[in-house]
Amino acid sequence: MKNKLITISALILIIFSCAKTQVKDSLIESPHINQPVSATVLSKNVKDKSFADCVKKELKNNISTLKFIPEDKFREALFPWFEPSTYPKSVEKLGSMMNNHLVQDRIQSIGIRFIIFVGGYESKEKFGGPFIVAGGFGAVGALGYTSSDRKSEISAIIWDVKEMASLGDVQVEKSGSFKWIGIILPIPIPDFTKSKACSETAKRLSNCLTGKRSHTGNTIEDFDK
Amino acid sequence: MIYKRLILLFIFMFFFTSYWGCTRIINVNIDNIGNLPIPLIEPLPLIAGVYYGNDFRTYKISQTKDTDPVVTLFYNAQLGKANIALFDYILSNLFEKVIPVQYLPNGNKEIENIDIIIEPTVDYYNPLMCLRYEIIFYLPNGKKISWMISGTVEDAPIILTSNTAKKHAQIAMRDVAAKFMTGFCNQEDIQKYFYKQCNR
Repeated sequence: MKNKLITISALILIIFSCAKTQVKDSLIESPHINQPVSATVLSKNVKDKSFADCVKKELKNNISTLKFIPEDKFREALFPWFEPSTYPKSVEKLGSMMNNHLVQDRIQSIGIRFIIFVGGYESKEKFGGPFIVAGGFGAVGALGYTSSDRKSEISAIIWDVKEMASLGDVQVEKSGSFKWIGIILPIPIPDFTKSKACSETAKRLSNCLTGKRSHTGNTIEDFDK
Repeated sequence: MIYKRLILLFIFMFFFTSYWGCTRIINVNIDNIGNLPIPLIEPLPLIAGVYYGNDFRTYKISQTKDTDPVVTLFYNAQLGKANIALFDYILSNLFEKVIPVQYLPNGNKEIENIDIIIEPTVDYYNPLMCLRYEIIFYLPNGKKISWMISGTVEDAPIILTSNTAKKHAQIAMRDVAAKFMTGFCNQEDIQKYFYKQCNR
């Protein structure tokens, strides 16, 4: 019985741990943040802020000297300039916007150093595979295996408002699958692709902001994790 | 025995309503634009005349949408008051002076002492998708320019209620306000005709 449980647990772990990661990273080293500075994380999609929120949460954990201005407060203060349809699409356009003394004065009064734009999307395929749930005479059970491929992609770009420069961008794509295994009871094995993509993105942004980058320039990485 | 009958009745009612279809009626009355902040722009040194047509002031729409095989959505939406509130907000912040006008310029009747006349109209509204305005500018040289601005709601609500439709319309209107205020001077003819005022 014990051996059976160990075998089943090992199988579940093996299935659970399979996930593919692809990263495109062009972030460069930024000056070390030794004193508190302010940043804001803006969502590219106004209706789904979950990607921006999860990256911000991870960054807060990673960098204690970084103070965050809430996105809503930043957008209200800079309206109409940083709405999802009007925000500057390049650091050069940010530069032109900063020629507007009203915008410049407001950003200086807020004390923002970094603006981080985060966007993302999730794709989910339909479940496929033999899976039966049946019941009768006071009992119910499940048998089989079914899965749905999932993909989460997060992209982020950092602008240093003080230096008027872009620190580069990063795109992280995590692929996995949500599984249901039926061994009498239906056992869900979630994919966590979104949270993993979020952690990886925040880790890279943190390394950039704290000057811990071991390389500069564009990199494309593929790995299973 | 009685439980069996209740279960059978429930199953019958379920199929009965599914067969004939469910229709949900949504009444959407958008009478304000929500709380928009004071915009971070300097008013342009121009005198703008604004003309609100009757259709614009009293805009309403009724439509039927088959959102899925069972539910048919029928909505009545009224936007008139919010339309006026939106463009009063935009124009009063964008221009130094705004004057309401009672008629549009034509060859015989010109309007003096006004730099530009603006006539907004609703081109399209769908509570599930977007709100689009057509803005017509009448320039002093007699030229007429049209500019389409859409306010989008990126994710359609799963369940549409009066409150969510109102909230989404207000988000779309905020989007329209931001695009208008930041994009006005980027219109080619506006840039040409009002170069000094747009680039002071």
